[in-house]
Amino acid sequence: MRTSAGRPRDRVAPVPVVCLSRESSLAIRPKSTLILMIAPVAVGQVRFTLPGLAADARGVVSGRDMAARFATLDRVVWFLRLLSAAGDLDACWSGMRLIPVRSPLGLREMLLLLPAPSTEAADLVARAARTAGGQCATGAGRHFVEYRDGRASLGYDVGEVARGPGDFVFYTADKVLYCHAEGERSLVRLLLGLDLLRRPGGSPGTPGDDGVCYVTARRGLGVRLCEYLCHVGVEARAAPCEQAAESAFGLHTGFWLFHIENLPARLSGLMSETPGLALYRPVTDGVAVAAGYRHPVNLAACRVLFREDRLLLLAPRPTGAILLDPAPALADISDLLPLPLLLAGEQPVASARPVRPKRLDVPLRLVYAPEVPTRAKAAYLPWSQVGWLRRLCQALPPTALRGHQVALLDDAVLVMADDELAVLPLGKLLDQAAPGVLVPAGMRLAPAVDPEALARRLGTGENSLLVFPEAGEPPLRIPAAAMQPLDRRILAELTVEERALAAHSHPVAVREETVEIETDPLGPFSLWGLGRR
Amino acid sequence: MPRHFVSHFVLPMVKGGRLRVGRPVGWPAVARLLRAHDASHAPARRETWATAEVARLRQLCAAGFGVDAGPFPLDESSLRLAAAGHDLLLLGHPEIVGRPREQERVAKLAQELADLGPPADLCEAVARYSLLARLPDVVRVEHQVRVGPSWLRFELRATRGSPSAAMRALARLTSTPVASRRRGWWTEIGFPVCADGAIEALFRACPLLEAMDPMRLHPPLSWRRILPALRFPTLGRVVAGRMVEIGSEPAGSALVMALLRFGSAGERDEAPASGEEIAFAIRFVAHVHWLHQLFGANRELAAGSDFAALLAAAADVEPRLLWPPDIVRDRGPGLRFARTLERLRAETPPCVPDRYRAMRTLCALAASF
Repeated sequence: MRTSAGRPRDRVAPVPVVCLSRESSLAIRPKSTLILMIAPVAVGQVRFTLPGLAADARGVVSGRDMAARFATLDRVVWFLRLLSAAGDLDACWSGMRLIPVRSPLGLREMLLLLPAPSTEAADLVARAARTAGGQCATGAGRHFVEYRDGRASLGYDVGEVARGPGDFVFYTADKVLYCHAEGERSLVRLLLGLDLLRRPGGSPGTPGDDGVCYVTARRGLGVRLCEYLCHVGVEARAAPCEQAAESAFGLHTGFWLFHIENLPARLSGLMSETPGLALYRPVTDGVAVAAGYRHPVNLAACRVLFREDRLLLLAPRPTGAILLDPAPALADISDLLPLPLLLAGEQPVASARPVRPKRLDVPLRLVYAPEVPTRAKAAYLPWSQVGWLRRLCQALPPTALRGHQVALLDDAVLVMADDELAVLPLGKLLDQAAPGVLVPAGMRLAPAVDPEALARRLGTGENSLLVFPEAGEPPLRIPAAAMQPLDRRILAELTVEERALAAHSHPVAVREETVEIETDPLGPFSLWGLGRR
Repeated sequence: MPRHFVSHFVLPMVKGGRLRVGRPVGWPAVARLLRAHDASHAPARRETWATAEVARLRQLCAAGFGVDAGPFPLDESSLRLAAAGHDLLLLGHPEIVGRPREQERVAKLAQELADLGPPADLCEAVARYSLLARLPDVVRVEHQVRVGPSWLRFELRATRGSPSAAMRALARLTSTPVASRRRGWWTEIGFPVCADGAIEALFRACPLLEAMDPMRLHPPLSWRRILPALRFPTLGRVVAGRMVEIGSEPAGSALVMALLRFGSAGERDEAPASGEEIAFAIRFVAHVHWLHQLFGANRELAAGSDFAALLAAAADVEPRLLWPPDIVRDRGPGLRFARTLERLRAETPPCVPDRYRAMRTLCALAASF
């Protein structure tokens, strides 16, 4: 038997094998001859049975497309990781398609179709696919033959083009596989569904190499962060964003997005560790990954999969990926600040700092002033002389009693006249240095400030009195409520009259003060011994 | 028991101020107080002064009732009532709240102490009331400091007389005011269920205390307990005046409701009401309405009230229950009263027919006397 290229078909020893031809797949033929479905390409061969195959200058056979078959989806991810780390293959990534297929045995497999711009790129794809446990084929349209390997350095060609049903036909060394496509899966969605990996030993606050980072802030923190960045002099742009909810009944979580050109290292920890703030590191145009994490696939290599007019923020669960479509129009943070806060932030700090004045206090003291004419206003009687006052009050006329007020202190009694104290030559006479300020007669206060200003400064007047009983002693403040008319104070002591009057009053008259419970601490106590004995 | 029971508890309860509630006061303490105030002993100077002040204030209170009696001594009945009042107040102590066994024991002790029975004469009734008159006015001051928002609130509470040092420090630190609130022990704080017996015994010993507060819900007003006091004309007039002060319609309705209970089912294991007692009670209620018409607010009695139902039923069944014999019905107050009764007889039966029929039965029982 000869192939269409005129080369003799390989023959091996006649042993029982499984022949997977189009006509008799899975049929066991004992003592039959192994017929290879594919044959290595010879040096200088220019004509090939499988349409779409072509040889480059080195004679390596390659088709327009590459197809990598994997048994499971995790091997696809493995392949993508290897391929993204292999190099810059934009042409491969741009046309890559992920197609679930079903094999003739009923198994589901994942098929990756990607263009092969060159044999070098095809070699990289084949190496990654085989490392990830898959099979790599080349071809065009629906026919794919095994890509070159160690047994066929130039590649393979098929002996006969299969005519069986199937969306994709794979020619291997011993069989022809007809696979049926079951839809197509989004490669971008597959990438976005992968969990981020924590960087081992990496600081979460480390921004990108060029200092560019994104920061998201909860809605309530946006303006505050604007103020702070403006205050510390960090140039940034920001915009409020609204994340689209998955459901019409879901919550629309809004946040602020900040794009910081050069984040100082001292602020990295603040941005990444403050609750409500999240720091992202851009990995390629339109994609940023949470600081401290990395995507399993090198997203920079597959940047062609992401549109530049969108912004994708990848965060670990439960936040997940945040897609901003289109990317928000960022504005300078200085334009986002409310105007009063902006003005307050732009004012120099030194001008707003209050200057603590130095004290210029002069102590107030009593000094002897014999030249000052004395005009007694009040008398300060120790309790030892109150008996004299009682006897004197018996003889005072009503006008004199009406014109005096008295306050009972701990160690003395203060008697103050409305006008001038002339009829009570008892105790220590006091003069009025200022309204409500009483000093001993023959003395004055130094410094000699204005009496009205002195009264205002000491807080005397209508509400209280300030009495200086002796030079060198602290003054006494007596509230005005403690001053009572002298005649009323005397009559209040006549308890006999009070009882006689109150005896005919209504019982409500004794109900003046409320009754409040004041609980004593009980502690442990016994309940026995309380009953009747 | 407070160390100075008279000066720290009895005197503030009579005069006002802060009364201190401590450990329970039992029978031995009462006996000890009686011995201490005996002439053969010399009590502390403070207690002597407090005893004299209490006697003077109780005399003033009695003078308000028109009872010309001498200073009331702190005899056994007074000390037992004071001790019972103390133990009842103790039931609201923060340290004993939540300890039901101790509460039941203290309540039982208070019931034993207050179980004096009705007063024998006018002076005794007034004397007992003069000691306990301000018991419903007792308040407890509670201080509170709240720090933080509603979802993360930190609170400090105190029921002592004044805020604690920690509370003041917290308030000063956070610039938060100390909120103080007065809660009436009788009306807001209340007393546990186990104290019902003690309260009833206290009311039975001092019926004026119950009669002066007819609007109280629990224990409900009992005519059986207040009748001994109302039978003294002097006290009856004072209580009727109190009803007019409170509001003749709500207070009268409370009296009528209690009268319906008194005349129908009776109260617990006490004897059922006689026709004479019912007649006396109806006459007292009518007296309240006479006072309202003469001195109360110029407001018509609502036809749907219990008070109006009783008046209308009595006017139908036996008008003599409502009319004093010396009142002329065709002019002056008598004419106004007659018009009011006519209006109530026309409006009340269709308004509250069931209640009106019950009142007619009650009035018929009273008329049978």
